[in-house]
Amino acid sequence: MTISTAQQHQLARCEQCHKLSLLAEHNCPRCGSPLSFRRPHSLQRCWALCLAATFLLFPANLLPIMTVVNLGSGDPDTIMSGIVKLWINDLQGIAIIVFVASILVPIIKLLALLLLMLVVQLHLPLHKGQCTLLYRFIHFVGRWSMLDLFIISILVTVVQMGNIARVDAGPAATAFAAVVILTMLAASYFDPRLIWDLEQDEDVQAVPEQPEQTL
Amino acid sequence: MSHSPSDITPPAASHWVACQDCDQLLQTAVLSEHQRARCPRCGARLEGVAVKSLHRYPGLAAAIAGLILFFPAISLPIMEFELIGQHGTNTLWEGVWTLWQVGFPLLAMLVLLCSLLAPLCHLLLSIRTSWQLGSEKTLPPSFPQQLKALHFFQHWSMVEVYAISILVAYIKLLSDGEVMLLSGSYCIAALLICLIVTSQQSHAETAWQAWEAQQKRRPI
Repeated sequence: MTISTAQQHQLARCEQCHKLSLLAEHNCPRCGSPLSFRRPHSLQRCWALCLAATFLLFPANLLPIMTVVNLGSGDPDTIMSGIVKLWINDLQGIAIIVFVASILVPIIKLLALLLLMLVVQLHLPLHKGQCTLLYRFIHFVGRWSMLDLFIISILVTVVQMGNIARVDAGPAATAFAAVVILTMLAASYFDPRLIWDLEQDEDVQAVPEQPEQTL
Repeated sequence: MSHSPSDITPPAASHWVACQDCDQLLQTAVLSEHQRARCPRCGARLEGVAVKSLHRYPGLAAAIAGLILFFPAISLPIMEFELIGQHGTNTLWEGVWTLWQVGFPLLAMLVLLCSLLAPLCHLLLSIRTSWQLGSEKTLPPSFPQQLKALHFFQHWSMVEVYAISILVAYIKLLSDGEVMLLSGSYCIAALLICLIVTSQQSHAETAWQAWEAQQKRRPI
């Protein structure tokens, strides 16, 4: 199949309205958004957001996220100890859902973004279709990490009975929310077209220099 | 859909799209309602392909129904928890307010955006957009901003995640005491269906092309 990218024809795809226009126009003639071939500073922004999210994973997982007080007694729970309690209380299904949404998804997202950035930066010879699939997966799955935060919002409101039963949110909740937001932003800054650009670099030995966009 | 020949001069951009995931240049036809365009190089479902929409009204109807359901969905109690004679209920709005009160303002604002503000703005902007496209009047100069805002709020609207959260919280509480799902949860489920239909029926490219056509007729 003939591979012919928009960039080879000096065409830039508008990020907002998806129209193709010549990059020389600087702003999309249809919606006025600034044009560029690839998302500007894609890798730098993605690295910064991923690093910040990685640091915040520690408070999010080590500090208590919720305290369930039942009949006067109750200890603060971290995300993991909460999942263990669910498992012990014969709620394995829920334990698995919370484990996937709160622990697996953020870690997998960060590792996947890290892998994709390394593929682009170090020209790792991985299958490009599969890398793109991975990207689409992390883009899709990001919002589901909000699950735990919504559950906290529901439980804190429903269970407010003084010493009989009470659910309090813990400091990890804010850190966890930050991880969710930062990883969602990181995924949206990463530009999957960079993966496919490697293919041209491999095919055509001499890569034409693209002028830095100045806007 | 065909691939572009490599010897082509820069094509007239309007009939071409670039794949959002791999930048492959592709020529597209206008799709009918149930067709999907996929990129032959990376398999992405192409964005920005015009869809010939026969029915404008299902989307508008779903958005209006969603707007009507929105207010009961945020103000009616979602579930009731009972333990040794004590009751507790919650609503969507109270969930935000409680978080704010107990000292989690950032969390409260995030939940506010994803569960309340974004769905509401998504519905309002969808209704406005369908209305403007349906009427004969010229589109206002703010139309591009409106479409961009519509896309933003659609992305941050997470009612489907909230619906699953209600189920998880419900099952969690089952082991601790009496718990019942109340009318609010049914309203949220119905609102979710309306939001899904609204999203499926809205074709951004059609709206953008209407704007473009108007600009060509009357340059600003």
